[in-house]
Order: sequence, then structure tokens, then C-alpha cells
Amino acid sequence: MTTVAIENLTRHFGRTRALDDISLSIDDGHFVSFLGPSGCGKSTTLRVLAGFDACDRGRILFDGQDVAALPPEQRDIGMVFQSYALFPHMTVGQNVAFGLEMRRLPRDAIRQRVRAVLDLVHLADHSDRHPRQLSGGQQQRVALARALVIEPRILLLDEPLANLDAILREEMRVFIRELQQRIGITTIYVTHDQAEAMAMSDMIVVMFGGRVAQVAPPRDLYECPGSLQVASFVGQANYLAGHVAHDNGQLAVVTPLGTRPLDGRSAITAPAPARNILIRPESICITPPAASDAVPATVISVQYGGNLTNYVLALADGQQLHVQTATPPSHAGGDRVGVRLADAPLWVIPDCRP
Amino acid sequence: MNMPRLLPVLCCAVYFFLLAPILVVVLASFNAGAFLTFPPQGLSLRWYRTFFHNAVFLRAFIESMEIAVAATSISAVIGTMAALFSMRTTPALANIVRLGMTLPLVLPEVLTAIGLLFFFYAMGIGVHYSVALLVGHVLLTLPFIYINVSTSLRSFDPSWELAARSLGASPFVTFYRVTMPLMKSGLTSGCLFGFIVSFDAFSTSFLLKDVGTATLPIQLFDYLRLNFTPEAAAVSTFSIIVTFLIVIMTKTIFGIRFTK
Amino acid sequence: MRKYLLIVPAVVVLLVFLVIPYIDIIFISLHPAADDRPYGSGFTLRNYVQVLTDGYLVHQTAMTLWIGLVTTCATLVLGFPVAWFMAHSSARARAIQQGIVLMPLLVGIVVRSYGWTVILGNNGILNRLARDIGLTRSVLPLMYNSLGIVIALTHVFLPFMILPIFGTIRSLDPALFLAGRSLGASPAITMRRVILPLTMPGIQSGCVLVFILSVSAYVTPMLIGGMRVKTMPMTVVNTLIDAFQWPFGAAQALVLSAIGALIVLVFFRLTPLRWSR
Repeated sequence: MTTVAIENLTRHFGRTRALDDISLSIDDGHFVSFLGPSGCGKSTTLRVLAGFDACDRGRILFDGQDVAALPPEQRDIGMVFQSYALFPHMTVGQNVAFGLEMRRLPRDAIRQRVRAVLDLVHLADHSDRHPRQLSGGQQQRVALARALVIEPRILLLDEPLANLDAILREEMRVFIRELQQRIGITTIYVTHDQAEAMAMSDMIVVMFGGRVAQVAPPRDLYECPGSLQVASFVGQANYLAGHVAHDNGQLAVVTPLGTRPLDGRSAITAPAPARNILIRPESICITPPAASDAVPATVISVQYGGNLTNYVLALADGQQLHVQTATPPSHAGGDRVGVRLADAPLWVIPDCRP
Repeated sequence: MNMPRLLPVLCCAVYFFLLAPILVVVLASFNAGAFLTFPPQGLSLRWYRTFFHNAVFLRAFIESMEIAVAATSISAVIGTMAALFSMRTTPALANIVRLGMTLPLVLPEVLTAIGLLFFFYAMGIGVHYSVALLVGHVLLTLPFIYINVSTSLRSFDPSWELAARSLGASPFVTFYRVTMPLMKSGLTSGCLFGFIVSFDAFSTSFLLKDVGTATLPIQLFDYLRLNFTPEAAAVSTFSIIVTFLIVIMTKTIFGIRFTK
Repeated sequence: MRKYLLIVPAVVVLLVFLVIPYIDIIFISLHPAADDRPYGSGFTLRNYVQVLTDGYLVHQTAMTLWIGLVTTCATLVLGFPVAWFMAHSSARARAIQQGIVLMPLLVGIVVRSYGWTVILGNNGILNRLARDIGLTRSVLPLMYNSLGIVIALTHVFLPFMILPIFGTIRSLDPALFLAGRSLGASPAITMRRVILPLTMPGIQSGCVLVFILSVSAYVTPMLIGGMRVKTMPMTVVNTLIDAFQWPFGAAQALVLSAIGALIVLVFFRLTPLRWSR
């Protein structure tokens, strides 16, 4: 069982800093996602962990052992590539057996383990096919089997679902996560899809411009983002100008839409002026215009999404609000409505003034 | 990517190996001395002067240009038509066409030339009037036109032509306004390659030339068997410069790219 | 079916000027020689018997094929690493390298062979250099022998080896090499087990192209060998043009081609089967 620690990892490509002093530790058996826009350094981090790229500075520890100087074949990793990189001249069985042959296992053991892992990914009867004869989802599972059969210390996945269609992607999310939990392997997953990262991970590492912006479990990331950038990248957000004040002996957040208690996870311990308050679209309720403690607003547009309805509203001062309800549309563009905040604590975005 | 450190060194050595004989010829052409020595004994253009006053070489150069232009033009028409056919027909048939069109490239040039020699003799024409020579050069250039045009047509969607027709364009206008612009770059680079291959061809010209005529490579070859003066280097450098000028001109006029 | 008109000219040209002439070669090789004409009438196998029993010609054929094989191996050994390096260079560096590899193709074969005579000749650059640094007192035999021919042919045909291999390497997913490494294979083993089989189509076409070209080369052996080493194409041209014995020359050319084709077939048999996409 393996823990991973990254210390002060730095990597330059020419003048640009692809990785800027990355430090991180990953617990044994955890599923950690690196999330960020393209070019943020998440793939580079993975390549450095795998040994495909060198780092200029820093240490990589697997179970406390520094592997930064080891070539990839000696790091004992399992990797699934975005393109799958299945060897086209080998059958599924030969692809899966390759890593075991490199470890010089006896023939019988190889055959058994290939069989077992193909069972695990439901491809036992496809062993003699060539990769090109398989569907995208099947190729994906072969790639997974090939990486897992060598029982690596850690599993690295580089945007493995990017080439699949939407339905298959949802299926594979569940499949991979379930498999990972069953085996209990430490897993690092790179993606630019925040929904994917949220659905699968124990922990998410958000990266921007070669730096780590925030490390948090999915729920904390969504509810308590550390910066405006993170808040906008992880789901849709409204920002209201507000301030923190005492209210009945407690700290409360005062916004144009009303006052609510301060989220307990916040580091703020004293009243503070002029802050950006995060309001997710689903924490705003639409009321009749005349309802008590409601603020008047005008409906600008309505988007029906089946299980959800998305509204864009405008307040009297012109500020636009994204609102999401779980009910079918009950208003149309131009309608006058009222809005109020749901009864939940509010998150003040740290170090960020409007 | 981790690469053995020796690899770049080896590659540079190979690139030097590839360029060395060409550089040597160019440098030798500026030799002031009467014999081919290296490094040159002083720089001069005297051998270029000799060359430009040598009627035999100049005639050969003009002959080479004429035959290259004529052969490339004929191949351009035939090869483009074949490429257009490949695009419109079934993949199986297109494969056969491709095989046939690249055949002259795969068959030994000497053998093809011998066959043509025999054939034209049997026809009663022999090597007279440069007909055999022209046909030989058409065979040399044809594969290059075909390969380049079909490559540029590979991403061509036949429904584009249908779209143009549905918008009211006649078949001719469709070809001129839709098909032609899309294959222009392939045709240009095909003609360029064809021209250069024809301009530099040796075996075909050697076996099929009419008595008393010679292309530049042949004249140079004949000269080299008997002489060792730097005039040969001047002629060689001149032909290199002509080729490069044509490449650069084509590149600037038609703006084609050579690397994918 | 108006579209079939498009292919008519090409078919006519290939049939009349390629297929028929090749058949013609076979026909003429079966005719007897004649004094006043290129070939006489009647049917005979004597030309073939003559080619296959003449010790000098047999030796020359073997020599020609040997030069072809050595040239093919040399271009492969030099060309594969270059193709690999080129394919893994940055876009800019790759364009420059492609230019260097393509450049010799823009320069005529006579000129390039001439360049090698300047380098390899008895008073050439290499010999002068060797004398100047005191490496040797006598003349290094670099030209007028098969070594010189192989060196020059390797140069002349190297681009034909590099380009097809480069093409197949470029078409491979770069992650394949990394996948091999991630599964515990060293670079050498990944190369042998993964990359080599996948680049085999490029290697095959490069080898076949270079072999055919170097076995049928005329100019380079002529200029470098200086008539002291004779290869079959030189003898064939001699027989046809100077001795005017067309049937005998045709038979020589066909025997060489047949043996060459046989070697190509054996080569395809020995190399691992192409995997098709």
C-alpha cells in the first residue's frame, strides 16, 4: 500500500514555468484528481510522477522512497493514457500480458492473472481480439486491465474518458471508481472536467498556471472555494458584495438579498467590511414579487433542462443572478418576481474584495 | 522523452554526410586553379565564365529545361485526371489505380528505359525526334503528380461538388471554383517534384536520347569521364542553383508548404 | 459513366509505354542475335544459358546484388535512428531536418556522385587529409572499388530509407513508447517489442526501395567505380548500346531483375508479417 508525497516540484519548459513549486501528499488508497484548464500543469505533474519528464527541482516520494531519479520502468506504476496506447500489433491478451512478461513471471501465472483481470473488466471473451476490433469503451477497459494487472503501487490516469461519448463516460466513471475502491489502489487522475473530478475523487487538486490553487475534498471545494478562480471553475457561481457583522452574538454575512450565518469552515473570526460572497444558483429561491423579505427582480431568460430549470434574473440595480430550481419553469422572460436566499450558512471568499 | 545522448550526435553526423558532397561541389566551383583541388586555391568565377561560353553545356541546359517542362505538363494533365478518378471511384478500384500509377517509381528506371528503347525501335521511330525521350520522362514524372494531387484530394469530400451543383454552378464552374482551388497545392508540389526529377534524370535520358542531343546531366557525365577541371563543379552548382531557384519561386508564387 | 474518361489517358500511357515495353523485353530476350540488326528472328533460350553459365557475368551479378544488400543495410542502420530522432524533435527542428534530408533529392544524381569523387578520389579530400595528418603515406583505396560505391550509394539513397520510416513513426501514437516504459520495459525492450514491429511497414518499403534502386544504379557505380568495378547495369548498357546485342542485354537485365525480385520476396517472408489497421 502506497502513499505519495510531492515536495517542491518545479519544471520549466524554456522560460515558462510548467510546474511552480508543487507540494502535496496523497494518502494510501485515495483517489486524487488533478483538475484544471488545459496548460495548467496537471498533465505535466502526471508525466513527472510517471518518469516521462524530469523535474528541475523537488522530490517525489512513493512510501517515503525518492523515485525522482528512477526511469519509468522502475517506478512500478500503472498508467492509462488518454489515447489508451494499446499496442496495435498485439491482441488484447498479449497487451495485458506485456507488463507481466517484463516482470518475468512464469507463463502459467501470466495466463492466470491475465484471465483474472480480463474477468474483472468484463472482457474475458475478447482476449484474442486486436484492439482495433473493440469499441472505445472496451479499449478503455483493456487499457485499465493492462495497467492494473501488474499490481502497481499507484495507478495514473491521464484524461482516460476524454475520447468517449457522454453516456459511456458516465458509465465508466462509476466503473473506474468502483474498481479502484475494490482494489484499494492509490490513484491519481487528471481531468479538465469538474463534474468527473467531483463524482470520483476523495480529494481534488485544483491547478492554475503551474501552481496548486486548492486541495480539498469535492464537497469542500464546491462549498468553500479558496478563491474566485476556483469558485468559477468548479460549478456556476454568483458573487454578491457583502460584509461580515455581529448578529445576536454570532458572526453573520450581510448581503443585498438578506442576512445569513457565516459558514463554520471560514477562517474569519471578526466582523469584516466589503467582501465577495459566494452564492450558488441553487441556493436562491424564487418567490412571488410581494412576499415578505424578498427582493424584487425581473426574469431575463429561462432555460428548461428536464430535471432542472435555469433562470437568469436581474436585480433592480442591474446585477444579474443565475438561479437554478428543481421545479419546472413557472415564469417567463419579463416576469416580475421576488428572490430570497435559502436558509443556509454563507461562504465568504477569502482575501477577495469586490 | 528520454533519448540516448549519442542519438543527436549520430544524427548530426548523418546530416553532415548527406550535405558534404553537395557542399564540396559548390565550394570547388569557385576554385581559381586549373585542377580540382580542395581546399580551393583562391576564389574566382573563371570556371563559370568558361561554362557560360561553352555552347555544348548551354544547349544541354536548354534541352533539359524543354524536356522537363514538356514532360511535366503532359504528366500534370494525365496524373490529375487519374487522381480525380481515384477520388470518385470505389476504394478498391482507387487502390488498383494507385498501384498502377506508382509502378514507374518502383520499377528500375534502367529497365523501363530499355523497354521503351525496344518498343520505339519496333514502332519504327527509334530515338528520333525525342519522342522516346519525352515518353520516358512522362513516365518518370507521372507518379509524382498523381501522388501529390491525390494526397491533397484525400480530405476532399465529393459532396462539396454536389453542393456547388445544387447552388447552380455548372460542372465546369464547379471544377474551376471548388475542385481546382482545393487540389492546387498538391498539383503545384507534384509539378515541382516532377520537374526536378525530370531535370536531374540520367538513365532514361541516357538510353533514349536522340543521336547528337544531350541533357545537362548527360553532358556533365560525359565531361566527367574525361576531364577533372572545376568547370564540372561550376556546371553542377549552376544546376543546383537553378533547381533551388525554381523551388523558391514556386514556394513564393504559390505559397505551398513542403512539410506536413 | 463519364468519370471513366478521366482514367483513360493514364491507362493508355501505362499500357502502351510500360506494360507492352516490359513484355517486349521478354520477347527480345528470346530472340537470337543478328549482325545487321539489333536482334534476329526465331526463338531461342541461348541468351539465358549464356548469362547463367558465363562465370564473369555470374560473379558480376553476385557482386551487384551484394552491393545492393550492403547499401540497404547501411541506409537502414543510419536511417532508422535519424527517422526516430526527426519524429521526436520539436516542429521547428523537424522542419529543418526534413529540409536537410530532402535537399540531396533536389540535386541530381550525377552531381552528387561527382561530389563523392571529389571526396573519395586518390587526390581527394579524405586522402589529402589522411596524408596531411600523417595517418598514411600511401593512397587510401576509397574510390575505384566496391567500398567507394557503397559509400556513395548509401548517400544517394539514404533519403529513400529515412522518409518512409519517418512517416510510420510519425503515424504512431507517441504514448505507445511511454506505455511500454510504464509497464516495466526498458527503452531497448520497448524499441524491440513495440516500436520495431509497428514501424515494420516503413522499414519494409524503405529497404525494398533502396535495394531496387541500388541494384539498378548506373551513374554512381560508373563514376565511383571508374570502370574498374563493373556492376550489372553497366554491363547491360554496354551490351545494348556499345555491343548492340539486344537479346543478350535483355536476358542479362531480366536475370538480374528476377533474382532481385526473389530476394525482395524472401525478405518479405522473413520480416514479421505486416499487421494491418
